[in-house]
Amino acid sequence: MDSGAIIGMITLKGVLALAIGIVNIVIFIYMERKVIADMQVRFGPMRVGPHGTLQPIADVIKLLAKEDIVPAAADRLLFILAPFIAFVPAFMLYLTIPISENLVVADLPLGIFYLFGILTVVPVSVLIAGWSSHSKYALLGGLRGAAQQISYEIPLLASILGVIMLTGSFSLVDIVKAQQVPLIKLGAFTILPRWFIFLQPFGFLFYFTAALADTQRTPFDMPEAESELVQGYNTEYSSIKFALFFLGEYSNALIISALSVIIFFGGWSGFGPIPGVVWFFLKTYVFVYFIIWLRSTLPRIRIDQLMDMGWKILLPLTLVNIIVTGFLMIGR
Amino acid sequence: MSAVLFYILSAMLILFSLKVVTTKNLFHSVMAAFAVLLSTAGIFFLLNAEFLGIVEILVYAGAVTILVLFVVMLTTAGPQYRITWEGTPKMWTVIFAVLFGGMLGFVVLSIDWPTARPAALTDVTRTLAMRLFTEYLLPFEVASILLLAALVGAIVLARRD
Repeated sequence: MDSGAIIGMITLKGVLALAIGIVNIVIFIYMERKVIADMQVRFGPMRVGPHGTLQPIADVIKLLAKEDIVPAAADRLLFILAPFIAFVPAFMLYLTIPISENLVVADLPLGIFYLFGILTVVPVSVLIAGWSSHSKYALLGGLRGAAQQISYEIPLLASILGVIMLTGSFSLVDIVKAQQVPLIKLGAFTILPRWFIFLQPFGFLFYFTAALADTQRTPFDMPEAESELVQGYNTEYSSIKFALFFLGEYSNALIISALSVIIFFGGWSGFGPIPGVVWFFLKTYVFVYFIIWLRSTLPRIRIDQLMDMGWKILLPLTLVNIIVTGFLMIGR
Repeated sequence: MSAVLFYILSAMLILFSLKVVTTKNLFHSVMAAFAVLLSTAGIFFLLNAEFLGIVEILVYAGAVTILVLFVVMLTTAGPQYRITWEGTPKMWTVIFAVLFGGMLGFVVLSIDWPTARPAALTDVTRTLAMRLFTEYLLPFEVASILLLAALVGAIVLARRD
């Protein structure tokens, strides 16, 4: 292949990954509205399309048609730049997510490491948005958001180190393949697959808690606590810029669900004649449902409790998890 | 292809580095440093040093930028502070700038830089870990203790006021 064809292929794959990401975010947003409505004994959106299925599209059109306002006192350049710094990394994450064994844009040898590296850029955008808006609610929201994300990134990365130690690889495809052998067998039947949830139950617990805090989902949505901060760091944003922040946040929550499946629940592996892709999305949406369920159930915790939990409880526990895993691996 | 990318990244690196020192707005200065770190990471990726590139983004572009921004926000001057040259002794500034530039120039010129592109390593992380925890264990531990001392010192200084 000449270089033109290679660039064409790369672009095509990238656009495809972006499209898959956006379609799933739209489903996520629709699902969130419907599930929360159901839990509050309401119907949720019902008017646009059958059972309101076209509601997300109507939402997007509404957002795009709105006036794009830049506050007079805002730092214009940074104000415009911030949504892109939030949106672009969020969509760079889809490049390494393996949907099935061959359906992955790039199986990087440092896949997990790459994902969390890109995720660390998000708090910078939050802080830029908060500061450049020149509004006290936005600034407070931005400071909270950045402080929260930076505190929980460390336990997030540390909580999956146990899995990386057991696999001996950073590649997401390798991690899933390591889970496809049986853990407990009865004759020819596999009773339990070697999913890392069974080998690293505490690792998963720490991972999911830190992930919820890192993506600012309830009960850790302090940066945009509506009752105190209006809307947090994106208070002053409207129209397409607000949509970019919104999509970026949902994208991160979706990636966290997909990663739980890949790292702890065997990725695309399943049983029966159902193809792996279906298994992958099925498991991912179980986690999406779980995240929405948490949002409609739990109250928001306080910012000082959040910081205490991150540094004084979660971080030491994840380190203990790594040490115990190491000793168990040596002892075997 | 990679040569074009290299020149684009280098141009970005130089322009944003100039922006860091020339801008009068403290917040813009930190943002330009953020862009510098991202371009550096890009150059690492071009040189087949993926691990270094990701570490550059993870540690410097992500964490260090945020911490510097917090320092900017929490200092008494605040992010609206304008950088000025007033009250700076001009003579000493020039002398130190020339000395520092000379030292950098000497280091750059005295090293025999390899021009060939190194081959891509297959198992970067494992190789790196093996080297770091056997051959270079002492420097690694010394650096850790130095960082820990800096951390404790910073807390002691911050607690005083």
